[in-house]
Amino acid sequence: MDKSSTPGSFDHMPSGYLVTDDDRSILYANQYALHYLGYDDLFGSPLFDIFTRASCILFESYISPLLLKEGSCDEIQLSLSTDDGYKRSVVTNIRRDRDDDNRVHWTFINASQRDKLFQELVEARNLLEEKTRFLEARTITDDVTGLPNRLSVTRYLADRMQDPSLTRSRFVIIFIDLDGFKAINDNYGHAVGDHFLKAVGQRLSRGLRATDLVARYGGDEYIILLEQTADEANASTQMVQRIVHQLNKPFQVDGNVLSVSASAGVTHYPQPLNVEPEQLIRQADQAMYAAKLAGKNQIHWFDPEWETIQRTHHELTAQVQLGIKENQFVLHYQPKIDLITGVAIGVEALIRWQHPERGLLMPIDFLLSIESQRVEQSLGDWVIKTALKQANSWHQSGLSIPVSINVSGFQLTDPDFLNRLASALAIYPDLPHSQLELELLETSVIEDSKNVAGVIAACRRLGLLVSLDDFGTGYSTLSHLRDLSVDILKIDRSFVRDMLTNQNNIAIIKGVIGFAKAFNCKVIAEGIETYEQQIALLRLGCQSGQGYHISRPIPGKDVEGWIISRFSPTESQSP
Amino acid sequence: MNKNAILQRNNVKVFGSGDQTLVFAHGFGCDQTMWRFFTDTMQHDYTIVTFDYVGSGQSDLTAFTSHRYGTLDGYAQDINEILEALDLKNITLIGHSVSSIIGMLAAIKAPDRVRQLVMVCPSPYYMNDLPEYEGGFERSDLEELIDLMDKNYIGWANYLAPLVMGGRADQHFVEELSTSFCSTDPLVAKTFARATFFSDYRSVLPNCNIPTLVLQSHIDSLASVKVGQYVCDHLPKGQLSILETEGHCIHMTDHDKVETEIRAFIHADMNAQTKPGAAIG
Repeated sequence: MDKSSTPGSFDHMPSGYLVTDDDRSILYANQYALHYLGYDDLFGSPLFDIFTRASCILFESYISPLLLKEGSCDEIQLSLSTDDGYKRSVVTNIRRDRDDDNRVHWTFINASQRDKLFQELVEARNLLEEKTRFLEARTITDDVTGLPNRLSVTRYLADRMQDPSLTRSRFVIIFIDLDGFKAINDNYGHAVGDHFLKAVGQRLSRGLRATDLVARYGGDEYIILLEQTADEANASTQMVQRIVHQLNKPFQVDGNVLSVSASAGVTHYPQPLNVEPEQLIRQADQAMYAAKLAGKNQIHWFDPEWETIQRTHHELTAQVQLGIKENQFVLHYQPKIDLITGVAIGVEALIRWQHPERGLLMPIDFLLSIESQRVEQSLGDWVIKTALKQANSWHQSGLSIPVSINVSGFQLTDPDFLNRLASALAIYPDLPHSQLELELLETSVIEDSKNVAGVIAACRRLGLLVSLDDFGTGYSTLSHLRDLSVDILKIDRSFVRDMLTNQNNIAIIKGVIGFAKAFNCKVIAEGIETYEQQIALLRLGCQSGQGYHISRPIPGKDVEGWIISRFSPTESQSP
Repeated sequence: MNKNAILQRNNVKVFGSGDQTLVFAHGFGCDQTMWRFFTDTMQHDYTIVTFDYVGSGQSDLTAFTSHRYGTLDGYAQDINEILEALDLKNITLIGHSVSSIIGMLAAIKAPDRVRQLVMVCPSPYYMNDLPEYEGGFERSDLEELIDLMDKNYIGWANYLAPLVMGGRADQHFVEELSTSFCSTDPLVAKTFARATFFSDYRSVLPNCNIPTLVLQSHIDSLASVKVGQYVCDHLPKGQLSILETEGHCIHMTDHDKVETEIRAFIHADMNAQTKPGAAIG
């Protein structure tokens, strides 16, 4: 062939070119194709002679249907067999010519480069898969212990509780917090601390069955989920004890012998009411906290009723806040009198809650629920302001009568209490400070006697009167009394109630009166419900008192009238 | 699942008219459109049902799970669910290639719904088990096939995206991928390929008591005449017909011949069933 006179030919093509007939026999193969596959001639050979078996399947499954349907297909990668039995990778474009006896035209090029790229893609994919698996494992595994982490155990619990096939399952959740782990970190360093946490995890895991789960919840906290059969329900206490107490044995870590104990909270599933997975963990956590408070190295079971009470407290707190805002609270005043003359010597302000749904509530209905919470301070402030306003109003109208208010220990220990009290007093500059008396619970005063003594002293410097309420119910020592130096001691109603039948109470009342004399305080009895009690108290030397026999607490607007009526001719002082 | 959900999932089409219903099950690598050479003419005499297996054609890809579709039983379940959804009884089930075996599995489970089977180029096992059985391929051939399938999918991004992004790729993204192959998801295609080429269903053949026409191509690199003979020998009511054709897709290349055989089989079987005492034979 004269190359210069033949500008183009299939044989000059830098790619393979084949023509096959409808029966898949090769009618033509160009030089590139022959050379590439190592054949001298392919005319008349079956197409499948140059196809690997895998390519035959691909042809039958994919290419043939596509050619019949679409007439063509592009960029199909196949492997072809060379004359000496090697495989060559090619990329083909294929056309079926319906107008030319359904002959099929093939072009192909070497795909070895593409194979290399593909191989790199496979490796990249494998790396990516490996990385993804690693990341997935990391998100659910704790690095330090290799145990499932917080996320993992929460998810597991959620899945387990939502799995309809496991609706009848029972399990116990143990929340463990190590006692004394901080000391290990501080004394031996964090590396030893981490190894110790791992050792704890391993010890916990060893004691469990395949159906149980132990996870590190965070810090030195672990969660264990114990599967239970109905038979095991009774044995769960022993199981929990065995698991938790095994942590009491010393650990050998990095050549050190380390010891801790564990506080554990336990709850169980199912419960009478529906519970959420997070709620279960919270229950176990709360029980663990109770175990800590009770002195550590203990196991506490969660009491579902306690949670109900807590929820009620929480709701009540919110209602009290709203109540303050919407003026639902009122003060009633119980007169105190001189037991000899009957003259009113003061009134005690007592809070009442005009609840929009539950009617008039007494302090016992709500004060316990807000104890030691911020709202208790808010309510205390409200009482002070309201009582001062009332006292000032009476003072303005010529009625000079001290008003006492009850102040909780929580209020007293608030560092800002004195400032707020002073601000409230400053609103009424004409009102003598001696018109306000603070009644403090003896028990609350004892708890933090040193600080409280300072606050009491400051109040007295302001000119306020201070009394110790419920005196005799706490465990005041003489030295306490000396340090506190109050103005008035109040004899608790519990002693007054039985004083006529119980000699011991008489002895206590006598003792209180004795204390009052010794420390130069006044004394007043509360809870006087009968004339006989009043007389008995007088005989013992107590000259002041309050109680239902004298008057129930009455609205502020009625106080003036009550005082006046005491001395009207129709009012009898005694039966 | 309710009826409509199944019909939508498998992109089920019902057309034609006639007392006898023919259900066509496509083979590996294809979809229901491959049957149109047939159904164009047969719809005048029969009610035709065509569908795509989950993972093929226009089926709902989101219904695919590797677990269910990792064996041919999962695909058979597709057929059974379609038959139940349409409440079809006494149908003729025509399956190409791997669907011959899938159809057999479905028919065994629902003998009251499937009256006849037609197997077009079946193979119960593609691998050689010499000397007893010559499936045609060695394991290495089939592993190479899986490798070639991998190389031919440009749906790689679709496969990789969930690894990076988490979850499955959006359906619209899947649809944008290669149309050069019938099935668009490499994971789905490979799962089907493994279920098709690596499973051995020879032992199930004797459990199929339904009259079965086995159509085999004279020359078929995927399923040889020997394989067709084996199938027929082990089916209790098998009937082999070897066509003078070449290739595996004879329902497309030689649809006239295949159609003639099927029509004859349906009629002969129906006549036999109406003759007194036919059931005994």
